[in-house]
Amino acid sequence: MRALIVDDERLARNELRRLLAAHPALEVVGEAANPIEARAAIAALAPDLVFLDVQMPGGSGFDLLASLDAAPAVIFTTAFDQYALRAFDVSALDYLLKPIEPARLAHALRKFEARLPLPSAAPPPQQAPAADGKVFIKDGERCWFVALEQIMLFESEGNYTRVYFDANRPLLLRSLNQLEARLDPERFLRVSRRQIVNLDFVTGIAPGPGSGMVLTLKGEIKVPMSRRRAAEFRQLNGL
Amino acid sequence: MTVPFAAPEPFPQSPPIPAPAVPGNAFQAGHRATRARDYWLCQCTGWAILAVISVMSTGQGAFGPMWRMTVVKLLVMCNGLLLSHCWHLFLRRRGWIDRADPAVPRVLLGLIVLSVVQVGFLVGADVLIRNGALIADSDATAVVIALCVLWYAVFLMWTLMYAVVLSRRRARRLELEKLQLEVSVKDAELRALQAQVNPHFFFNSMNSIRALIYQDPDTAAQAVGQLAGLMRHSLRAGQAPTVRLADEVAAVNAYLAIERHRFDERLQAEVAIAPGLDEVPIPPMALQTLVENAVKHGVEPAIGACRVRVQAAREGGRVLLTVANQGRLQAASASTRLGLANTARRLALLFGPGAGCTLREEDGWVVAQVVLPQETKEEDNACAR
Repeated sequence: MRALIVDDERLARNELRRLLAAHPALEVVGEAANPIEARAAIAALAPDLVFLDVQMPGGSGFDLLASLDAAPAVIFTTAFDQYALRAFDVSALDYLLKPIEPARLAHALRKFEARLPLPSAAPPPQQAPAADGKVFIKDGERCWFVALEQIMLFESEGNYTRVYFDANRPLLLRSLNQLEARLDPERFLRVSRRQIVNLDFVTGIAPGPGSGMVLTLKGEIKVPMSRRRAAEFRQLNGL
Repeated sequence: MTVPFAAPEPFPQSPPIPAPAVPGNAFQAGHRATRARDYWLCQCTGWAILAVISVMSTGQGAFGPMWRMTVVKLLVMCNGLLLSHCWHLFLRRRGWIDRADPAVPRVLLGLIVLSVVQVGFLVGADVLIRNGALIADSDATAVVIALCVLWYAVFLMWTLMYAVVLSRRRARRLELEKLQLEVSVKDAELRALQAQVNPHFFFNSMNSIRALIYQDPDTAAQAVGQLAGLMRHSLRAGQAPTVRLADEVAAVNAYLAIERHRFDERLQAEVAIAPGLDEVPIPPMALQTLVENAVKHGVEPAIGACRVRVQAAREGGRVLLTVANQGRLQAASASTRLGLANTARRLALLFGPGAGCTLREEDGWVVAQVVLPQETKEEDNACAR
């Protein structure tokens, strides 16, 4: 496993490196001292795991994650920001308090390994997004780590996209076109200029106005499908 | 966002916490003298008015010559004054009135005794001066009873007035006590604020020191000493109203040394203290709070190097403490100004309206400045007290 350490304090990076030396299965492949370096390092090294400081010059660890197209697996490290981490769905990520306790670090790494898919002999080619890709969404004070397949609907709102999952409807700072390029076409269907639907969540299809269609999603969300898209869809499914 | 990390527990070796400022003994003695003067003024005025009314109301009655009657009446009034004063002393010693539930039945009984004594005196004086013209009358018993009732009413009035005065004074005292309690609560709050150690700083420092233990044990040992010194200074801040500038500067230097380990070359600090200022009393943590703010808002968000300048200088009758950092002054949110607001509050409390605290931006520097009036030696003592 390859890990990246992101922390603005040199001593803190050294200390984490020292602690990680006790875990030979994990290789520290790089360090970054601010979000700009971190973004470059994540793109260049594609680490399996990022140890991420919450407070950094030039933006918080949250801002960094929110700016990435595909969020890597992250363990937050922080001296005293757990209040900020409470905004999260805690099960989706882990955090370590500095100074980090070796036992606590070992526990976090075990948890991370348990979530990993079985290692394949050849690493999969780096294609964005991975099928189990997660996206980090920051809307105001609230943050989420969401697997793409959990998202049932993307709806364009200008330069933003509203994301529907569970009962949450946060805004993502991405255009729908940017997102579409990253989505698995087997699962996600562009039903109109404004919407992309996750087919796993479709519970019903009905004819709509004109020769369009109306899709019903879980939670009784109705999404109209444009005439052109409906025609393509019929053709695709041999209807 | 900071959270009180260390409660200001009084330490065994530390001096006792001075009581909050309350009206001193001299003030209380003066207050008591004023009260006694007011009491006698009321007594004399009241009885004099009663005497005038009484003498004026003397008709051309059948009870002998006017002057004898007048003498009796004046004597009776003097006795009334004397009796009421004794009654006052008695009530005060027994505390029948000056409490939440006055002993009304006892007071009413006491008033019967009082009026009987007064009428007894009246009859005695009448016998001596007017040869008992009063009791020579055919309805003597009725007259004596009427006089008893009259005097009972007079002393009852007196007692009611006294009770009103006492209850007013009581209310004022309760209000003062409440005020004093509020002051002491505020004082405790302030001390807790002064002893605040920024937990973010503390845990980051612990982390740096642990890294240093493996890399550079000597520096690690030094850093532990510096952190201990800083913690001791901030704990002491919770207990004394002022500290020597020299002690505060030592704490600032310890703080900067620790932060230099954390930020490496990103923190470039210069400390310049003008000579002769060592003994100047300043509010504890006043300078330290400004330096912490400079690091938090200047160094922490800067990716590159950030300079921080700490200065203390005398200018006219004032001492100026200046902390400047490179950077922009952000539109302040409530929390970012917390430290500065604490400082301003302490300054006003300790040094009066001449003291001040400003924050401004000039030429790419954010400059925080504390102004402390240093007029006379006496003033300093007043501040220290």
